[in-house]
Amino acid sequence: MLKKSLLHFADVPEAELNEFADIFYLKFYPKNTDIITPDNKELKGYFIVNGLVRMHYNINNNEITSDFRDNNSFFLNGYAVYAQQKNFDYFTTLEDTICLLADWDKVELMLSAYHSLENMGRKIVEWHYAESMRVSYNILFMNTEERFKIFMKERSGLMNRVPQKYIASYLGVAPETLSRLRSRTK
Amino acid sequence: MLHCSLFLVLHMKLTHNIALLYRSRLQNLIKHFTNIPSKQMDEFLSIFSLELLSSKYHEIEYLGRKIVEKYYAIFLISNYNKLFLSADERYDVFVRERSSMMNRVPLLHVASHLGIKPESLSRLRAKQQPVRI
Repeated sequence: MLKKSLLHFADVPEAELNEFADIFYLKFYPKNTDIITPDNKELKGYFIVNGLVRMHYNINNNEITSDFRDNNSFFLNGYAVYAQQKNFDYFTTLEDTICLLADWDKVELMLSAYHSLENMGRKIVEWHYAESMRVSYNILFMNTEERFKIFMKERSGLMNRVPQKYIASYLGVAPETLSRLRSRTK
Repeated sequence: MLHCSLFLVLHMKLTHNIALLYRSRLQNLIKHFTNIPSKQMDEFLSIFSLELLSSKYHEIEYLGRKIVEKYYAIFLISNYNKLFLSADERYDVFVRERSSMMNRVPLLHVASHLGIKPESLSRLRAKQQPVRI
């Protein structure tokens, strides 16, 4: 599953892909576990084999959900890895979750060793950057209803797996507003 | 991005002296990220096809990734600052990191970038200037 997801970004020869996959190791996280917390010092890349993770942070005593990651998706502490700053957010499991993890320094070594992996690494960063910009755009320029429609179109599978209060927080609406939006689309 | 803008200028065939000036600036910018052998540097500066060059040279591919990571980091830091820093703190960061822009960018655009009104920016600037006796 990891290799299939990586090949989605770029073509990588099998031998190099296998060598890259070998730096990952499995870890199980029970539901409601903080995989990454603020001021995390361990730099790792994660791939969700099975499960669901919520990204959130606290501001002015309010908890805000910023994103979700589910099966066959990657996540890492981008703020610490790319910006070399202390991170401010949590990555918490919403279900029992199995991840493949790799130490970031080993990822960098592999990308340096093979051109094809470097290409794949660039494409993955570009994709995440583009997605972040797209989410920011949606928040700036779309109204609540439009953001809800996009969520339903692209992530409807989460509606039955994620508590509604977290989806409401992600969309920047009150839970009551989310209920109204849901009843309108039924 | 700066290096793309500079390269487009090269591509528009400016005069020889200006082209050389921008070429050396671009070389210095690239060297900030990685040491690329001169032959590859020359090829990079003469061909505007980053994907083609990236597929040909691992070092250019590495440079490409580091540039994307750098700008993604700037984006992340900017978002963090907007979320967690007060107007005063955002202004302090701006003056520390981009002070040269204060004399080049109309203040209403700086205020907009900081998410404050122009009057608030004027107050912040006045607070930081030394009092003349």
